[in-house]
Formats: sequence, C-alpha cells, structure tokens
Amino acid sequence: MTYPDSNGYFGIFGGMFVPETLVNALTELEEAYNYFLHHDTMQNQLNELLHHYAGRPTPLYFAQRLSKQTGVQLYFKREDLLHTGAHKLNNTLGQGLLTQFMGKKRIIAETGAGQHGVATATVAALLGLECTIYMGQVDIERQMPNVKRMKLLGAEVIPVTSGSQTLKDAINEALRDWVRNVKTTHYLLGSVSGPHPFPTIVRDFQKVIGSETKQQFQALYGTLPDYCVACVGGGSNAAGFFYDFIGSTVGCIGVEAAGKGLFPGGHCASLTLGTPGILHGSLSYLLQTSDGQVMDVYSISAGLDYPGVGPEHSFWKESNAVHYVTCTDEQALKACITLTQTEGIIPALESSHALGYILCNSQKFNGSNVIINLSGRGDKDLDTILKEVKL
Amino acid sequence: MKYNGFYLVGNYPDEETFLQAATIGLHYFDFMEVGLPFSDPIADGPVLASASHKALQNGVTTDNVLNNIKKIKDYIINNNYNKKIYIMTYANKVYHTTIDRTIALFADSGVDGIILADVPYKESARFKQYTDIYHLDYIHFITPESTHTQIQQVCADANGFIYAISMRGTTGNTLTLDNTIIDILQLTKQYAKIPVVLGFGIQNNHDVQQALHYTDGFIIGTALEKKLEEGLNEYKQFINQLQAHSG
Repeated sequence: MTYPDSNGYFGIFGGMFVPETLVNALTELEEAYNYFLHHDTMQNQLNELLHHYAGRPTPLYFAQRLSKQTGVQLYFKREDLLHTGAHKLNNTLGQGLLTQFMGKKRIIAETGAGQHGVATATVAALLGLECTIYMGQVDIERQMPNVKRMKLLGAEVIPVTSGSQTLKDAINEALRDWVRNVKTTHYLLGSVSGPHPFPTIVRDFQKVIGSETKQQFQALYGTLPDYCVACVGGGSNAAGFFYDFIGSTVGCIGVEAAGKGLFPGGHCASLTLGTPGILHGSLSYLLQTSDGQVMDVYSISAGLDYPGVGPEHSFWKESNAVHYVTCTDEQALKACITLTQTEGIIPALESSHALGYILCNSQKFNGSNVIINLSGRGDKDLDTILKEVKL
Repeated sequence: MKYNGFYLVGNYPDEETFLQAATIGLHYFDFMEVGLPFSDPIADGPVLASASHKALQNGVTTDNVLNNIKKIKDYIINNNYNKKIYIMTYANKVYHTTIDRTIALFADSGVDGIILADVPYKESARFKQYTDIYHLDYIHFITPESTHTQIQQVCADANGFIYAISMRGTTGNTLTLDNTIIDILQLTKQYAKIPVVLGFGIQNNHDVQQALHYTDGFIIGTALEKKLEEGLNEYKQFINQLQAHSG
C-alpha cells in the first residue's frame, strides 16, 4: 500500500483540516500536481533546473578527520551546497513550476529560519512571480541575513507579531492570506506539514535527497549505509532523505530539538513528547496543553521551532519505520563548532542537531556507516553561534 | 423563517461581562454562537484572533466556558425563550481528548450544535457521527468557492442552519456581495430545507439589510465584539439600532 490514501491520510494521520473556502484550491492543486508528475516536458524542465540552476546532484562527503575522532564512519549529504544554501530549493523549484502551470501569478510562503523564504523568493525572481513571505518577528530578529536576502530578491517580507511570533504564527498568517486570495495565489508551503496534498508534494520534491544518496553510496560500496540521520522540525529534509530507505535495512533516525531540556515550553520535540492533534490542516503529533491549546515551544534553531510535525513522520513513528530522538541546544552548538573546526564546514543549527545526536552517542554507532543530511549551511546563524562561542 | 445570530468569544472580556452581553443579545437574536478560544484561530481576523488570545491569557478553558453556557441555557429556559446556543471553535479543541468525550460535555452543558471553522465538509463525518449520537446540530458551510454539487450535498446533509460565508477571507472584513456569491446564496436557498444564514463581514445596518435580502438571517461577530470592548452600554445601543433594521 502506498501512502497517503485517496483522502490524504497516512494511516490515521494527515487529512485536510482547513476552512471550507480552501478545499477546492487544494483539490485543484492535487490535480495539477498529478498532471505535472506524469508530464514529460514539465519533469524535464524541473530536472534541468535542479541540475543547472540548483547544482544537483549534491556531493556525498566522507568526513575523514571527524570519523577518526569519533570512531563512526561519518558521511554528509551536502544539501548545504545547493543554491541558496539549503534543501528548501528542491521543493520551491517544483512548486514554482506548478504555480505557473496553474496560471497563478502570486506566491506566498511562511518561513522560520528564512531558508524556505529565501528559496521561495529566489524561485519567484527566477519565474517572474509576485512573492510575499510571512515571518515571525522573533525569527526576523534571529535570522536577519535571510530577511535581507529575501528583500533583495524582490519579495515582500511581512513580520508576524501575533502569538509566539515564530514559524507557527507565520503559517497562521499565510493561511489567512491564502483564504483571501485563493483565486490568484498559490501557497508555497515549505514543509511536509499542512493539509493534503502538501505533505505528499513536498516529500516528493524532496525525495531526490534520499534517492541520490542511495545511488552515491551504492556506487562507492555496492551496499546500503547502516544509518541515515536528519533533523526534524516540520520534517521536510528528513522526509525527503528517509523516503527511499523506508522498509530497507537502513536505520532511519529523526532528531528533534530538545532546546533547553524536555520540560514544557523548553523544547519542540513533537514526536517524542506530543500527542495526536490537529494544527495547520493536518492531524499529527502535536505539543499541546491538557485543554487542547497549542503549546509554546522553543529551540535555538528557528527552523525547528515548531509545535507540530508532518503527518507522515507521525505515521513512521507509529509504524516504527523511523526512530525519533532528541538533541539539546547545547549539544547542537557543540556539534556545529566541532564540524566547523574539524572539517571546515559551518552547518546550519538545524542540521547540527542531527550531528549532535551522533556525537553524543558515538559509542553506539562505533564502526557503523552513518550518513547525516547536512540540510543547510550555517552562515545565517553566525550571530547566534558567535554569542555562544568566545573567539 | 428569520434566523439571526450573534457571536461572542467565550468568557471575554471577563465572565461577568460575557454573561451580561449574552443575555442582552438573547433578547434580540434567535441564536448565540459562543467562540471557544483556540491558540491558532486561522479563520479569524485580527479583532477576534486578539480577543481569543486575550481570553486564553486570562485563563479561559473549555470547562469554564461550558459552565457559563449552562447558566445561559438556564436563563433561556427560565424565560421560555426558543433560542439556541452553538459552540464555534477549531477541530483540535474537539479532537484532543476524543471527539466522543468533548461532544458529550458540550451536550451536557446545553449546547445545541457545533461549528468548526477548520473542518470542511469532506472531513466532517468523524465529528458528525458524535453530534448525531448526542442530538446536536452539526453546521456546514457554503462559501464563494462552493460548486453546484457541493451546495446540493451540504443542503441534503445539513441540520440546524446553513452557514453561508460571504467572502473569501477571515472574520471582520468588509462585506461586498458580488454576483458569484449572490448566485451561490440563491442556489443554496433553493435547495435548503433549513435557514440559510450569512456570516463574515456583517458590520452595520446596510450589511444586515443586504444579508436579509438574500438569506434567512445574519451572524454578527467582529463588529459586536468591538462594541463590547468599548463597554456594555455601547454594545447594547449598537444591538438596539441594529434590531430596528433586522425585522
């Protein structure tokens, strides 16, 4: 059986929990996407852009010095080398072409760390689309370089000052905009969350990460790696990385942000400590209070600072297809600095969580081949990193 | 069959004011919608979203809103009114402790039906299953995007009333009934066996007259909540002058 089912469910998770006004737009998107999937010219156009514009395939890099230091055979899938500095462009290129195909002239998007905002603004510039990005005020302050990039690319960046002023509230505002402008606008959602068909579309556009990795590793060793590890916020880089390995011998490990610690308000480990709930269009694991309110969450990394998670991850958790663990702010920062100073790669704080988990548990992985998805580069995080490190 | 309703955020701005505002409103309106605050109200505009957030900061919970709904229900019974109370909220507020348990609690407090802003027709079955068991109305929506088939479906399945959303947008925007929505309202009226009520954007007497021209009633929320934030007298005066135009 392939997931989701015809109603957009991965097991019991997923669905389309949106105001009635959006239902036909989501159906139209699903139809356009199915057409796009089987349309040779459009697929060729996307593949050309992924290759010549975005820089695919991205390298699979063996980290010799770090491997020696840790006793783990460590590889990095270098999505940080993709144009705009993160995996997000895989999805925005795909959905950008879909927007054109649907005859819409305007795209809107939410962004947390700003990587999805930058990737959306980039595609808007490339394809000549009008672009509005919603971003929480707290995130604007901690990811200023990306805000400037989006503006330079011609996007309008609207600060969101309601609620926790982070990714969750940016999604609320983007959904409100979409309800108002559904006739002319495509909501270019950046994660594997949201209502059906977004979790499927975004996963499909991101699964190139895992399929490339599989080919690259097999070309080198004629076998599969032992483990694939990725950070999970909404879960797009992890879903794209894991998808081709699900059901194989490869152990897939999703790392959630444990922030300051696993107490209420201190973290955003939805799969580890949440319960099923409905937010932003889908039924999935959610950090919520006993009264059904979405909890305030926290992570040093803006891209992981989200109380929910994509429904397919919830399904993978329930079916034990993926093992979900956590990594704290402190462990992620330490991993970030270690990778920078051992291999000359400055990772994004999001991706640093995946490495942080492995570095803290290196005994367990001793001698194993472990591939970490290096989903983004850390330039955007320099201010945050430098605050923590005395140079 | 005139059927006009008013919306108030539960226990906002405080319990006493909310209860007074409810009883004032019930003199004039046929039904009341109580907003059960949710942290992420994506269908609400700035006025109602901010009212919900403030209510949550003040400690409003499902339990303490239901306690006051019981009081309002007693008031309705004691006055021999034939008026209904609906809860308007978001899916997670009903889902999180199991739909069965929540709907049972709603029914126990005297609620007549539920309206879920982020549950479209195609996801409604799992909720309607329980509102049917507890004999509550489950309210469906008609929107400017509804197709002929969707309108027929909703009209065939609906109970209570049909909530016609006047615009593509959130609560509190300006009402403009374009030809598309007028056609949709007329078609809905043609198929509906229960009242069709227009909501979103009703702010003044002119809007009320527009609504009543095409439908059986209107729901007013944002404009009323703004008046209530000014004070109970302003709220009462506003309803008084609205009443003169909504017969």
